[in-house]
Parts: sequence; C-alpha cells; structure tokens
Amino acid sequence: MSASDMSANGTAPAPHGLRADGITVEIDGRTIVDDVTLAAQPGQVLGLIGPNGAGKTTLVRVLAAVATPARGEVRVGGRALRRLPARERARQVAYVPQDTALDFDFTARDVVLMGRHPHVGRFEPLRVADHDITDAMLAEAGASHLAGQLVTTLSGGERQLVHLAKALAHQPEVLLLDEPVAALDLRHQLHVLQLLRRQADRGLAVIAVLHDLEQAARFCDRLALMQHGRLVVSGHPREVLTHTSLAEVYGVNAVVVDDVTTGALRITALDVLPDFAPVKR
Amino acid sequence: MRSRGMAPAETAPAETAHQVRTAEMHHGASATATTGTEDGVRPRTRTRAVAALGALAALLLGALVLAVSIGPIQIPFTETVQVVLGNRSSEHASIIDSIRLPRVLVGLFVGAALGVAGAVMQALFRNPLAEPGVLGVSSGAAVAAVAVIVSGATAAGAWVLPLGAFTGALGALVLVYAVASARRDRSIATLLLIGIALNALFGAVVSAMVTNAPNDDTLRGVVFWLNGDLVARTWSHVQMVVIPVAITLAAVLVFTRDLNVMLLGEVQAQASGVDVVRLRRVLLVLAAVLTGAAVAVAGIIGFVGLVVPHLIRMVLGPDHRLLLPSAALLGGTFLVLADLVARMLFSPVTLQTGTVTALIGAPVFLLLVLRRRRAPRT
Repeated sequence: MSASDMSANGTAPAPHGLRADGITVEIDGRTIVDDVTLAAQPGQVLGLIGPNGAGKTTLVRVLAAVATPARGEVRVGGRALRRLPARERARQVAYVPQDTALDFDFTARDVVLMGRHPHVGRFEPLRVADHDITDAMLAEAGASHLAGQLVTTLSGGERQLVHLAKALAHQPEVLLLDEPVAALDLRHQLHVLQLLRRQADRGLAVIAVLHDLEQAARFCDRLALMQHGRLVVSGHPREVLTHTSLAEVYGVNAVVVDDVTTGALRITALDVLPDFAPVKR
Repeated sequence: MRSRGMAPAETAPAETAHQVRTAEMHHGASATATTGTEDGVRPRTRTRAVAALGALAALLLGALVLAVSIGPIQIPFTETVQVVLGNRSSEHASIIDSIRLPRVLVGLFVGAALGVAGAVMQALFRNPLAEPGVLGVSSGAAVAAVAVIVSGATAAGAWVLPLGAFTGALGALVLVYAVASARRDRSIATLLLIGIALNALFGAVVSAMVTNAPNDDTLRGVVFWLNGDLVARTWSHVQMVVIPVAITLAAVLVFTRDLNVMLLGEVQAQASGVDVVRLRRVLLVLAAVLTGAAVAVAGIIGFVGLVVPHLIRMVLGPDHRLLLPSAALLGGTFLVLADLVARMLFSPVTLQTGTVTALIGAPVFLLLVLRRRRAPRT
C-alpha cells in the first residue's frame, strides 16, 4: 500500500494503467459526475458499481474519451488521453459500450477486424497479422462460431461478445466495459468475467461497470462504489461491500457473508429501507 | 508484461493473394481454438470483390458502347469501338467524336460522382436513405445556377453556369458549417437539421426567381437545368467534370476503412481511433465537390446517389472498400443507360435525363424498400 500511495503523490509516477483526476461532468447544468478521482493499475480488474443513475456510464465514457468532462483529466501511461491523437488513444484504451446495435450488414468478423483500425495506417493495407489477431480475439471471446454471421442477425448477447472481441483486437493497455454481462446468459456471463480476469492477469488494466455485486466481489480486485455522481468508497471488495455502505447507497438492509464456494462474498438483500431517499440531498 | 499479440505486429504487408492464402493455411493449421469455418474467408472475400468489380466494369463498358452506338443514326458496335480507339476512317467518326462521346462521358463521370457522393453521405449519416443533396448542396447549386440563367450572365461564356453552380454547392456547405459553428455543435443530427432548413430556403429562393423570370426562354432554361439533362454536352463539359471528379474520387477511396468504422456510430468510431469531427469535415467537402461538379455540368439529377449505393449495399454488403468503387462504376452505368433511354425511348420526342433517372429510380427504390431483407444473406 505504501508504495502505491507514494506513487500517487507524484514521487514516482506510475508508468502504466489509467488515472482519472477530479472528473466532473455537467449536462444542462446538472452535475452527473462529481469530482471523481480513481486509478486502475495494470493487472487489476476495477469494478464500477452503484445504483441506477449514479453516473457510472458517463464516467466510463469520459475514461474512454468519447465524452468530454467539464473539469478533470484522464491519463493513461502518464499521458493526458484527450491530447493524444485519436489513433494512438485507441491503441491505449478500448471501450465496449452498453448499446452495440448496428444497422449495417457487416459480418461479426468484419466488426472485430475494425478493432485493428488504430494499428493500420491510412495508406497501409491490412496485414496478415491483423487477420490473425482478429481470429484469435474472436476465439478468446468465445465468438468464433459467429465469425461469418451478419451482426444484424445476432442477439444482443452475441453482439456484445463480438464487440468485446473487437475491443481486444485493439490490443489496448486499458479495457473499459459498460455492463459487459448484462445481456448474457449464465454461461456467457462466467465466460466473459473469466476473460476479463485473464486479460488483467496478462497485464491489462480492466475497468468494468457491473450490476451484480456478488460477481463484482468475486472477479474484481478493487471496487469503486458511486452514488449521485460521487465516488463514495473504493478499495477491496470486502471494504466496499458492507452492511453500512449497502444501506447508505442502495437503501437495502443486506447481509454480507463469506461465500464458502467462491471464497468471495454472498450478499443477500433482506428488505428495502423505508426512509431511504434515492435523490441527491 | 503480456505479449502484444499472436503474431509480430511489424509483419510485412501482404501484397499478394498468395501470401495471404499461405498465411491462412498456416493459421488454420496452428489454431486449434478456432473452428474451421472461417478458413478461406479472406480469399473468398477477395475473389468476390474482384469478380463484382470486374462484372460492374464490363457492364459499364457495354453501356458505353451501347450508348455511343445507338441514336437517330445506328452505328455498328464494332465500328463504334474502332472509332473510339482512334480509327478515323469511319463515316460516323464525327458524330461519335463531337456529339455522342462527350455526352456519354459526361454521363459517366456525373453518374460516378453522384453514386459515390451518395454512398459517402449515407455512411456519414448512418442512414441508407441519405443522398448527395441532403445538406443543401444541390439546392445551393440550383440557387446560383438559376440566378446566373435569370440574370443573363450565361452570355458571358459557357463556363459561367457550371462555375456558378459549383460555387453555389460549396457555398451551401460553408453556410451549413457556419450555422453549426454559431451553435458550437457539429453533431451529425444538427448538420442534418440545418440542411433541411437550407434546402427549404433555397427551394423558396429558386421559386421566387422562377416566377419572376423575365421571359419564356429563360424559364425553359431554368426548368431544363432543374431537372438535369445531358443534352448538348460538349468536350468542354467533359474537361470541366473529369479533373475534379477523378481527383476527388481518388481522395475518397483513401477513407474507405474509416467509413466502415463510422458505421459503428460516432461513439464507437471515436473509440476506435477515428477523429470523427475531422473525418466528417473532410468527407463532407469531398462529397460536396463531387456533387457540385456533377450538378455543374448536368443540372440536378436525382435518385442516382440514392438508389445506386443502396442497391450495391444490398447485394455486396456495406464494406466501403468494395462499395465505393462499385458505386462509381454502377452510378456511371446507370446514368449512361438512363440518358440513352431518355434520348431513344419515345424518339423523336426526348425526355430529360433527370426525368428518366427519377422514373426508373423511384420504382426501383420502392422495390428495394419492399424487399428489404431482414434475414441472413446466406
């Protein structure tokens, strides 16, 4: 802990991973994200959790540099993300949005191949390596069987796998995902979460918005709990998911115990709290 | 640290199909995790693209020979080919050289320009129903052209009308961006709304000028221009259209992969390494040059830019690496044949080229809408 604290103070800046400082997003005068500071280290999965409307999606969009914050700066590998050229930015950060709908008849493989776009110059042809990486990432995402199918004919969950493979084809340093398992069946949920774990173990910094708290506790190294656009608490899942925080943020009376099967946490919400105010005070 | 990929990223470019195929065989043998189904996809895709472009090119050549040969005086196809290739001994050489060939060539370049401009606009707006004039470029050209005709400035030289129309087309795009900048909002939806407003405004200005046209001759000239026609096109028109269209087509082809990524949507395109705002600005200018050059020498010809890319997308898919060259070839073919129909169908009564493209294009478009596929292509 002390070593990383020192690096955060600037004595020895962390060369890799993502760091966001004082991110504030305002839309039509409303503050959607309020002064959020967080960091994701290479080799770690950071879970973004919080109730609906907490600002998780907006924050991830800022981290992916597809939305511009009113204040604050996102750095990847120590460099300000928004000042990087678009191509270089996409080599650093890949982003899988929640909505992956597409009206045009590309095959799944075509879409994954587009993940190579930031690596191929405008006047260069696609290389054999680009095709090989495309096939490898389709396999990694468990979507090889979809390769030749039109994305317009895929289910929402299948499309999500394809977009995950596309994001991996960026070969990024940081992988951002907005509810990557929301549309998936049980088997594919597990597959994707294990995949994220594996990618982190290979040295990526992974940040994922997750809704299922038990999954978040099991697969994430650290959790960041958001409410009303603010970061309430972040740290090890056991520090973040407590009876008190669940009551304050989600407004539920929950029991948190060790899950003997997974070694992670089991969270059982017993009741909603009657005097909980879900709006910002 | 983790490895940066399955294969070294600095592998030499695959220049030949042979290299690609060799690599694929190697890959197919080494990758046990992937199913065998995608083996051979790349050569097949490449073969399909070459076959499609070859067929479209052959179709275009056929249409060119047909259009030059057929007229009030019929010329045998072989004679046409010989004359075009430089044989001056034919009695029909002067008809071909001074009347038919320039007209057909103008049709070819105008059709190609409109087909590609339409495809680009459809990609930028992510809407298969967009067309080259959606931002007011064509109607901007119309305002300038009608002003030139009504004011009698055409007397100053043959280049006044085309130059005026071209300037009007680019002026319309500048106006769209000026309004968007005033709002500090250059999203595609805002540009579209501004385009709708400008189209309405330009239409009203044209109507005002038409109703106050000084005499019937002027009025006839205006109506002719507004419906688009290739009648009496000369080599000077060919010269005017060839250079801007050829250069711009080549420039657009540089952005085919960017256009593919744009179809994923603005957010995904941005996240995939496309500088969306800059790409859109560059491509809107290129599409406006294409449209402006086409409109300048032929007037407003509708439906080519709408139907041609749509048709190709349905048959060959949305990949712009194939779509854009195909749209150029089929756009040229479509306009050359439409012009032939306009000249000959009710001969000696001739229709305007723009009328025929609409007469053919509108039903074809309806058919496409009705047959819009929702099932897999295979």
